[in-house]
Order: sequence, then structure tokens, then C-alpha cells
Amino acid sequence: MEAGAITARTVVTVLLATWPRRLLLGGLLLIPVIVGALGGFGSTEPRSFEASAGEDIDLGPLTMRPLAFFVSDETRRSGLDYVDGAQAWLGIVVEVENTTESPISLTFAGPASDAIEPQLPQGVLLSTLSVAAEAVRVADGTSGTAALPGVRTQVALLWPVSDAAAVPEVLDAVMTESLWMFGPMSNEERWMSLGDTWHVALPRTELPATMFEPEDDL
Amino acid sequence: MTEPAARDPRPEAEIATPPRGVRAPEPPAQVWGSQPRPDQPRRTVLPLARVLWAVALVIGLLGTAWISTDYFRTYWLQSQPREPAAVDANGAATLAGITISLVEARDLGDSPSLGGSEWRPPAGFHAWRVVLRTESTNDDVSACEVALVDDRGREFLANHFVESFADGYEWSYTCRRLSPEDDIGPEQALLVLVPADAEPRSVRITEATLDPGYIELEIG
Amino acid sequence: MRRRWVIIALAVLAVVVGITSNLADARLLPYGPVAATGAMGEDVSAFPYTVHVNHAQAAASIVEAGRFEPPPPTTTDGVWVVVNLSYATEDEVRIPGSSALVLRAEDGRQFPVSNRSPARPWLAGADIWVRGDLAFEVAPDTLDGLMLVFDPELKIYGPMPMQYAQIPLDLDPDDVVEVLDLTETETLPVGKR
Repeated sequence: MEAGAITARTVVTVLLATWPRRLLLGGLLLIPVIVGALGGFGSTEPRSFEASAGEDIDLGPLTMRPLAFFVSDETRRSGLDYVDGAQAWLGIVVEVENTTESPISLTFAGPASDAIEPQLPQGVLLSTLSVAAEAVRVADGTSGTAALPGVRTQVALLWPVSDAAAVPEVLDAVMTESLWMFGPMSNEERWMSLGDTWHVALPRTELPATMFEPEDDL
Repeated sequence: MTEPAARDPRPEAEIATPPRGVRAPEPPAQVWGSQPRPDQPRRTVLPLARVLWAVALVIGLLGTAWISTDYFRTYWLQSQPREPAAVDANGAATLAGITISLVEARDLGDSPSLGGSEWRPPAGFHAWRVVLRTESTNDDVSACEVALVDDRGREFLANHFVESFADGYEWSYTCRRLSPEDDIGPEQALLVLVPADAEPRSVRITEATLDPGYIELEIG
Repeated sequence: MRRRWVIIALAVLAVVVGITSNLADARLLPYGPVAATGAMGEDVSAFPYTVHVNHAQAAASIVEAGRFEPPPPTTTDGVWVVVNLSYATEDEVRIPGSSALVLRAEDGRQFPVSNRSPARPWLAGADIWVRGDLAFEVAPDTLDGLMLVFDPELKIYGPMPMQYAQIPLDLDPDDVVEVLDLTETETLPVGKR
């Protein structure tokens, strides 16, 4: 081997030549251990607030204003038949505005996953995901699944329920803030519902007339 | 900043150069400032460390090559043009139990007289009539795609942008095994919309599940 | 002593080369799609498509095309923008994906083809131009500077930069008609757009 060549061994030798260097290197290697022992790089604990119906709540990618809820089987009838054991829709009427640059689906997992979750006894809510199964524009009963950037819309978010009578007169709902975070599993940055939460008590209302669907005469 | 270990980090230099063809012995790893032992006996066998270095290098290079050619292996190779199924002396080609021969590929011009339809191609286009004779024992497919391929490689898919309900023409090309209930004869005629300046050279028959295989029949 | 300085210099060089190549990678090399900016009334290439925007109009409500009995107009909480465009391909029959056509505002907000309108991207063939309307719902404050972006998102040549078309729509924010009827798609004669 040629004289003066830099080999892995010479580098290791230089790095480990003196005690101050060895201590420094050892200390660097120990940093993850020390941080881990002290509890890791945890984010601050999410806070919890009480909110009232009709209040604008900033959930990160969405601003949402919960208004009221209804229970009905006289809307989106075919969608209801599609769900095993569904008796009625639980609908939460909200005003929603997307504050990001891209559209957000209100019925798919994503930025709106935990935007608002009705709190019901176990087994009453029939969807596996917390996100609503359907979203209907209250003004005319058309599809309201896409929240567009900067377009404020009043929609009814629908979840199928197994027992209409099990829904109380005042419905508790939890709204969770989404944070733009790095997801180690997806290896990319995305919205994750890990932020502050708001508890809101919603008053009961009637099914909006625009959403009424007459029964098929068969 | 003088320290004994750094004085000579390259102990190899102190060892006399071995004769040609004989590997220099690997000195012991020098860590935590330990001095090299120049009196280590020479060995003529390949030192294990060298072998490990070489193995690690080869594994690393192979791994890098494998990862960096991922796109090439998964997409690009499969997207390359494949050889069509062989065409026999009678002009018929067989793929996955489907035997197809070209009966007719004819330019009907800009005002074809189609039974039961007043349809005309848009200005600057011609309608082409393609008739295929099919014998199929394949029960897994249902319809195949038929396209006219011109001298510039453009593909014009049959049954798109044309009248779907002309008498004597199918709106879809059935290439599965026919059952007695099927109201389809052994020959199926299809309509194709082609720009007037195009010169179709062949008929290409594809089906997604038969990829990368396909049938190409020259227009006589 | 000299050898140590060589080692230090090489280590510094390695770090500098790494930073430089990362910067070049991120800022200079066009790995992503490459924009071809066109104008209304022009053929703009977004390989393997060529797209041509005829006109665009803002409206408060739209009426679905091709129904025997016209349905009531569909309203929006934003503004409808109806783009009349045609496109063809260079090689074979293709249909753009649902997210291939979007309207992009000057501030970067993106609006897809509205799922509250039945109009969807349609099939086009090799040099077979097909024209139709696409309806988008946008925020009212974006009408000025709105741009149609057509990104086929196809990786025909592997992980290579592919072209996408962007076409400014030149909409007048004060010109919002009450009701707009959508037109049906139409296969065009040669030379027509």
C-alpha cells in the first residue's frame, strides 16, 4: 500500500487518538441513549377544550363550525341499505372551510379523519373509520364530499347507526386538530390528528328539507 | 497537539515489501492507541480481512445496482414492444387458445353506407371496416381490443368515436369461447375511425390479461 | 502533520461535494414534470396529449348537458368555472386520470374537476380531437389569475421529467353569468379544435 494513503484505519486512528477525542465521540454516540432515557423527543401534550355549537374551530387544515345533529332514515336511502344492520343516519351539520391549497375529502381517511367524531355507546356507530361515510351539501342535497380551498360550505356529515333510539337528545362530539407531521410509516409529511381536542355538545334538529328523499314506490 | 498514536497511523509502511505474488500480512487493528507488532509472522494465505472487504464491496455494489435498477426492471422492461404471436401460412395467429385471422380490412371512405344508421365520420376522417375470423377456446377473457396501426405507429382503436349500432357490425369484439346462445358468427365486423391521411398497415389485437402477448395481422 | 491536514481537507471536501450535489439535485435538475405554458386558443403539448382551450366562463350555476328534460341548475358556495377545451393524443386512445386536469390559483390553491357536475375527462384518440366542457368549483377570490393545469402524470419513459401544460384562463372577475349550460362532448373534424 502506498505511503500516505488514507485508509479507514488511519481515520479511526486519528479520531480515537486522544482522550478528549474519544470522550467527544463516545458522548455523541450516547446522545440518543440519553435522550431516550429522558423520555425522547416527545411533542407537547395535546390540550383539551370545551366548545359550544356554532363556534368556529381551527382544526389545522380545516376550519369547522359544528351546528347541530339529526337522526333520520329519509335521506340517502340506498346508501343506508348498503350498510349491514343500519337503522338510520346520524347526521352532524357543520360549516367547513378548507384552509390548505388542495381539496380535502370529508369521507376518506386523511386531513378530515378525526375532524369531528360523534360519541355514542359501543356498537351504535356502524363505521369502522372515524371519518363520516357520506357528506351532503345542505343547500341542495347534492354531494358535499370535497372541501375545496377557500370555499365555505354547510354540509351534513352522515354516519350509519344501528339504533336510532340510542342517540341521546344532546350529542357529544370530539373534534381533533390535525398537525402537519412526518409519518415514519409513510415516510412523508402528512396531516395527522394528534393535536388539541375540543368537546362540543350538539343540539338535536330536524333533517334539512333539501335532503329529504321520498321512499321508492315499488 | 502531539499524541503517540497519531505519530504513525500506517504501520504497513514499516513492513518490508513482500515479494511479488505474496500478500502482505494484515497488521492487527490498531485501536485505542495500541502499538503495532512488527514481529507478526508472515502468512501466504489470503487474509480473512481482505476477503471480507471484497465480499462486502461486491454485496454493496450488487445491492446498489439492484435498488437503482428497480424502475427499469419493474416498468421499463415490461413496457417495451414485445414480439407478436406467430402468424401461420393461412394468415392465422394463435394466442392463449384464441385463433384469429384477418378476413378484411377495407377503407369505407368518408361516407360509408351503414345499414340502419345515418352516421358519417367527421370531416377529414374515414371509416374502416375490419372483419376478423375467430376460433376461441378461452373462457377467461371476454372482449379483446382491436386497433388499426398505421405507418407512423399510431393506433386507432375499433368501436370508439364511431356509430355503435350499425347493422352487421359488432359494438365490441368478442374473443372468448362462443356458446350456442351467443348471437355471434365466426366472423365479426368492426368499425374504426381513422384520419383520411393515415395508412393502416396492420391490425393489432390485445387483451389486458394476455399482456405481454398480442396478435398482429398484416393488411394484405 | 501534513498527512493529517490532507485527511481534514478531504473530509471537508466530501461534505462540500455532498451539500453541493444535494442542492443541485433539489434545485436544478428537473426530475419532476416540466411546465409548458401556453395560451387560450393555442395547441399546448402535455405528452402524450395535446390540449387546446377554446374559452372559459365563470358562472353562478350550471345545467347538466344531454338530458331529455333539463335538470335544475346546480349552484355552488364558490363560483363555477366552465372550461371548454379539446384534446387529442399522439399515439393511441387514452383518457386523462381524474386528477390530471385542475385549476390552479395564483396563490397555489388547486381545484379539481367538480364531483358535483357530471362532466368528467373523456377519451381521445391519436390525432382524434374531442371537445367538451369541464366544470370546476373555485373560491371567488381566485378568478383573477386562474390557470388550467393538464398533467397526464404518465411515466412513459421511466423516472424522467414529463411535460405538463398550463394555460392561463384570462377570466374577468366581474363577468359571472347566472346560469351556464354545459355542452356534450363531440369528436371534431380534422383541423377543428
